[in-house]
Amino acid sequence: MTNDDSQPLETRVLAAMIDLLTSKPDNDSTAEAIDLSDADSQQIIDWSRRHRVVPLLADAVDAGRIKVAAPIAEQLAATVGGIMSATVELEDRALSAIAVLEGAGIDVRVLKGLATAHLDYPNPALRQFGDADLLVRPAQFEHAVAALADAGHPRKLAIRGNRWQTQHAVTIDIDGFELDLHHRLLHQVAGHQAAALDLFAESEPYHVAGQRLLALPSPLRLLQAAGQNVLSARIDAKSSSDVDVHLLMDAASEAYDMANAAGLGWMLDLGLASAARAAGLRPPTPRSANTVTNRYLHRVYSSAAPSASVLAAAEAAVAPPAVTARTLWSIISPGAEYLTARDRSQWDQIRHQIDRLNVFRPTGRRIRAGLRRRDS
Amino acid sequence: MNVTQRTLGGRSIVLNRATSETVELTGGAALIWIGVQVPGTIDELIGDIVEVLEGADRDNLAENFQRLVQKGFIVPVSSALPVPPTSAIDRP
Repeated sequence: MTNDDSQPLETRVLAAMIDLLTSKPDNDSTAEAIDLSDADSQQIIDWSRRHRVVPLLADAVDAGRIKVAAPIAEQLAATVGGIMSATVELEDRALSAIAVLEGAGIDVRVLKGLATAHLDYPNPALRQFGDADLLVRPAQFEHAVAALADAGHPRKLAIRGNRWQTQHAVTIDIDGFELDLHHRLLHQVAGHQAAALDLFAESEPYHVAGQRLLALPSPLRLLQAAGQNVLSARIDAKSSSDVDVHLLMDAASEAYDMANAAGLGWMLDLGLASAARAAGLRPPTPRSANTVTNRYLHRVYSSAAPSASVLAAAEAAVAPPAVTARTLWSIISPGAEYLTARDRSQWDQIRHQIDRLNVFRPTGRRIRAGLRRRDS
Repeated sequence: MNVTQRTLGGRSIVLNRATSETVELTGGAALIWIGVQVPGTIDELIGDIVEVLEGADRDNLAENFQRLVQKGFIVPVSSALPVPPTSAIDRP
């Protein structure tokens, strides 16, 4: 991996972190250290907080791969202490929640940071995460929410009736920390596509604080991390997902087999490419099957502002003959996220318009017409 | 040890389940509780810890934590918590 001065500073720092993580312990890396001025250091610390890679930054500073002034290194170490403190508290609450769910007879799979920290990182302290993510079967979802509520863990936002089905997950308050309870692996259209996979067929067990947990197998962990990159690219992308992708690349072949079977090849192509570019590397060769679905969804998610005609074509390629409002919204939402990224203050306005258009009914023409009016 | 914990850069932070707060273990406390390698003065630190915990109920986490806190082997860090995380899912 190179330390190319022409790359953005964040890219070079992320590359150094990943290089450090993936290098063999006995490999004396000859990579040149990145020397940060005080101003650059602050910029990188702010970036690492937003992208949840502060422990990796601290580790790279400790290893001499990134050089900062001593007072800044001390500030960084203090920040890492706070993060580790929050993580052990969050993890403890999550373990309790998992015990509640399993006690209620609900199958649980641990997703994202709470799993990758222990299974894919050389030291779990290196994986920062701000919430816990658990997957349950859709048929057990309402039972799971009720079991957690009975245990004193309410949902953060009340959603009437079965409207939870329009989201891939809901957020539960676990004693001041956040638990995202998923009934789909991913959000937007990919979540509906991933429903074709049997996510509970296999699992990878591991232990935290003496409690046995079940994670998804590594190909599905890679699929999830890559999807996170793609689907959240315009609104909530985290470099921690890029790092997850790099650490899980050994599972790429199996992940492509699963992704292509579910029509998710487009997402894996884009997710792996995004993670590579984030570290200044050349994207790997796309390996998705050459299908209409892959072609159109690739266009939707790689475009800064997908046009109405591309969205409509993607919808036709993906949606079943009887288009459901959920599927439609899943496809259209990248456009809304694009506007959000341009100006976050527009978010409330967009949500208001979406509510007014009533996306929860199968009224696709009205929704598209409304979006066209908004765009004009 | 059945409590959640993290160790990085020579710092070890564990959850005190008795109080649901986190604490930082120092020196010999880290060595005893987590098995972290502390160079230099291991024997001396082990001696100190053993003395502090002498006669303690091995399974009484609360009492053991309290003894180690009193002797300065454990430093509370919960007050250093960062801003609570926010979820992307329910963001308005």
